[in-house]
Amino acid sequence: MKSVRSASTALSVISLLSACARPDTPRVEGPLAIEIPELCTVCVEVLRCEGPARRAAYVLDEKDAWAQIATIWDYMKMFFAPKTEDFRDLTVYELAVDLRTPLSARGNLEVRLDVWNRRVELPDSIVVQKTGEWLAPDGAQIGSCTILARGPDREFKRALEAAIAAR
Amino acid sequence: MNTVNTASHEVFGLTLLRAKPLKAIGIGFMLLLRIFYGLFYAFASIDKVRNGYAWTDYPLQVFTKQLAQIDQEGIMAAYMKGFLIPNYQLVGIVITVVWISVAVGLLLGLCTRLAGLLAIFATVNIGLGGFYDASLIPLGLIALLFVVLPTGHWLGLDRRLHARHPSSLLFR
Repeated sequence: MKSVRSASTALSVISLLSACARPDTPRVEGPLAIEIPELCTVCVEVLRCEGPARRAAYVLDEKDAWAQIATIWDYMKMFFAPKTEDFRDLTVYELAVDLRTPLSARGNLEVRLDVWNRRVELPDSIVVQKTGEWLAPDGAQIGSCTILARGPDREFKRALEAAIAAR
Repeated sequence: MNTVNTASHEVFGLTLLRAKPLKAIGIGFMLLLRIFYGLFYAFASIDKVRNGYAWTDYPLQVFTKQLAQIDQEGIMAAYMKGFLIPNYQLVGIVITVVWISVAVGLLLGLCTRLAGLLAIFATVNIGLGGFYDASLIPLGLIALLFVVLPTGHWLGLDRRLHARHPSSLLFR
């Protein structure tokens, strides 16, 4: 019965540890204007943002195979401490006023998802997921963002890629 | 008469490490993998019990949310709409029982091969349930190792129970 005792002791210690390692501030809860499932490794997310001076589409790519495999460890860690952030590859498209035509594209970028505070930290701006506000790094309002639904998101991504490739 | 040699598999320990170090390292690695895998399922089981997976409509919420994330025309959506969502109460109970069984089996080395089979069943169903990604491939392959290899005899209750019940398939 040595193995039964060892297993129960290990589980008790782990359960105690799981109560620790939480951020000090409460997690921002839904409903969210911009819902991004941080555990979905095969999802593509497209944020379409619009303001008086600028329009842009932010395309968050699905994770590659190795990053997907690495999420096994993420799931283990989540028992001890809640997931507070995630990182995804990003392409930024500057859009014309019709919000469909890409004017330019910047790839090989990275976005940080602040899962705890529900903010999307882009290289050039921040999106508040609770309200959809699009802010400059200094907090100034740029405009607002919406997230495309499943299905239309991949179609829009393909259309943007095709339009840029056709140039 | 069918006789079973209960001493056919090595016991993991210092004696094995001194006599056959390479084999002992290999076995040790497999046992670590088994404990890691067992903990993975133990954590998931605790989470399922906390969320009332077997006795509330929590699985329905999870399936409905996940359904919105996947291709509506694909096989996963068909499986969710045709089986998981209509039977979410039964599915919730089965998932909870299977997860706990895998955790207990792998952590204690009890019915270890059966626990490996259940882990494969769970992995396939995670994928069909709309949660497919590349992480399921190593998870499925590792579970297969627990079916094929006598890890419960290297360390665990299977060795002792097999000696007591040599004809039982559960402790092989």
